[in-house]
Amino acid sequence: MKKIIYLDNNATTRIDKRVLQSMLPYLEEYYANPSGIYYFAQEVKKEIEKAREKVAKFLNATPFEIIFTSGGTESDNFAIKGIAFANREKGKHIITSSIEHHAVLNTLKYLEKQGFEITFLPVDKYGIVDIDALKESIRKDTILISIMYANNEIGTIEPIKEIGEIARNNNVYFHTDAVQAAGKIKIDVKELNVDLLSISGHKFYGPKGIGALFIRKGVKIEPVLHGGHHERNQRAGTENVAGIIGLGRACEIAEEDLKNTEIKNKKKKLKDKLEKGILEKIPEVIVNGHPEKRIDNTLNICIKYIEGESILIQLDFEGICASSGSACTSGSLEPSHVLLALGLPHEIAHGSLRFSLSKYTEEEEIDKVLEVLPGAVQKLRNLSPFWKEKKI
Amino acid sequence: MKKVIIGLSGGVDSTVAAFLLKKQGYEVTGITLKLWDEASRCCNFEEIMRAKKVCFKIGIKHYVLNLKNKFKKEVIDYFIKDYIDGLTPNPCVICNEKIKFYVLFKKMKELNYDYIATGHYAKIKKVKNKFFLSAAKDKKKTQEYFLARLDEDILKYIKFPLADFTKEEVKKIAEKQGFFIPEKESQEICFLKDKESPYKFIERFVDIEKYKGCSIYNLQGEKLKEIEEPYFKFTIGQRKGIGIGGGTPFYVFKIIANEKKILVSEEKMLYNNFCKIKNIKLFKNKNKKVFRANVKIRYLHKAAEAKILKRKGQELEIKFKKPQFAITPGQLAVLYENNTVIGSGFIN
Repeated sequence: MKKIIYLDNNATTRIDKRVLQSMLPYLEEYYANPSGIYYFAQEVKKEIEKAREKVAKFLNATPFEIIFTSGGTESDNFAIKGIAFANREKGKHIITSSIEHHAVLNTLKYLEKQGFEITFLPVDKYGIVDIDALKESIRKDTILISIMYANNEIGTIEPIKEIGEIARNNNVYFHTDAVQAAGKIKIDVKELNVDLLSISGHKFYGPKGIGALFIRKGVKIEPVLHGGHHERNQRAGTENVAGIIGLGRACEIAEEDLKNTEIKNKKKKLKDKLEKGILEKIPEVIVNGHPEKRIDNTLNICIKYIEGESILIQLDFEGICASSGSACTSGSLEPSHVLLALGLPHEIAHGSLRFSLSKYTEEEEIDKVLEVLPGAVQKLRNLSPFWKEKKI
Repeated sequence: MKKVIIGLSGGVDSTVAAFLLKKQGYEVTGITLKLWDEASRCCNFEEIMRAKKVCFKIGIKHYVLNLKNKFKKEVIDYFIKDYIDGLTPNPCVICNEKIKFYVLFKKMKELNYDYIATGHYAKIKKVKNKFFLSAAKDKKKTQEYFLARLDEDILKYIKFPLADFTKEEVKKIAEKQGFFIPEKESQEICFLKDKESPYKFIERFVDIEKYKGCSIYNLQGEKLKEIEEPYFKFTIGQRKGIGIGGGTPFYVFKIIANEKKILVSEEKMLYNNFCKIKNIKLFKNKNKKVFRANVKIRYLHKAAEAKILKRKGQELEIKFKKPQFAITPGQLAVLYENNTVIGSGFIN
């Protein structure tokens, strides 16, 4: 197999070896169901609670406020449906943004069919939510605001603290999907004034299939998975023990890494090199997302006059993994709702390309992209009627 | 190693075609085109996943391209417009020309590949350095009619691995390899839902009230009936569903869209030995004023002997040796020399 250059780290990341090591005993030796009353189970349960403490510390929450889930999608579903169903006596209005992840958008669209009313807030050209529109759209019957911390496609960081204040002043619950923020920027639920916050393990060097939802103490919420008395009756189902242990370890490592300027600087430097290199070598490229308020591993560009799909396939032939728009399960690309919400025309959004780096990304990998990409783009443009038209 | 891009639908034909190419030693990459929403018979999640699994099994790369917008513009809009204009469209012909082969060819160039392939039953024939399209070995299944609009500059890059196989042979290969074989394969238009008529399909896209109500006349100009549904519910040569009982059965003779009129007649009146065709593509006899050809006026028609006359302008006249039943405006007339396609045009 060709050497893989993985630049799709907003989709998932390589598990940190230390995380993997921490999990292995719980896949093999310590297999007891943590609900058991015997000591063998208690040993497992103890580790789950330790992991919960690590997750809580990572978010500056208390352990009681952390519920383990199967990942970002479940956390989002739990937060939104849980709040909606528990608070529908108060009202049926929910506010969100137009650039949320589908785990939020489609959950809300489902609720819309159930009789809830959803406001989808517009964003500016950088993807920042319109705060005035948010203030104006809050009503007496508004029960929830759900706005993501950092956007998965373009990396823009939303003014979560400000939104949290607005929510609190209006006595409305506030949920943020922090799946793309976790491990990339510091998260402090107290400072941010959020009531609910979703994270997912595999986005920051943890395992797939595990996530968590922070639920502030006192928040009125209903479970969405019913069954046994797991997770304090909030989320039924035998615990994904190894996943939970792995998530705990991943949070611990992420906390250290966030303080490690060497790791931070390296990632930023490589992303900047990639961005600068592309802009220098390829004409007619737009960089999407906010110039500063952006997670530092994400570079989303639109290469005018070509289709993102064709570039992705060419990069794939070279062993470079990147993405464009949002891929559905069958792997076909839908035009990105995020780029369209920024006001980009359809044909430009079609030529979008996202590179997302990890702490493992090496300079030679970025060099390889800068070596391959300009030629691939030129070839496609030579075949593109729009490019020819433009040159005449 | 020469490189081939194959269009894969997830069906048995393209599956076996991909398998054969790989066996012949080509480097093969599969592409599935997502053309329409998942409610229709083609391009649904299952079919795409099936195509993907086939590629896993054969050991080739696979990509899905989203062409929903282009398909809507080029095929669906044309399909609807033709019916509304009182014509009978052939969406497969248009899709092959404007979508499938166009996109595969484009990807071939973009990705530096050498050939494109599909699981169609058809053959590429080289005559004196010119490339022609011709019937496949399986004469019952052969599909060159649907591909007749492809130009020579594309034909020379096409491989049809099933050209020399019968459907039965293809099924046997699939069986032996453990590929999925559906119990029944649909031959109908792919974007219609199960048992959905074109009329019901169009109803979902246009303001149907505008078109409702039409009158049925006989050739003597007598009004026989008024019906509630639109004229494009009918096609030329149709017998069932006219709803006029007694005596000799009536057939749809003509559709006059702008007057919302259907003319019906006895069967014999539908036999005609003359028609005009337009949007001509000629791959041979370009400079001849008159030539002979066998002409197929619809997919399931047996090509009939005819004389082709070039008149002024962009049209051709076709004079059949024997009268043909239900020559239908909108359908593609394909001109053959033996089994080889030498041209085509849409019936006026």
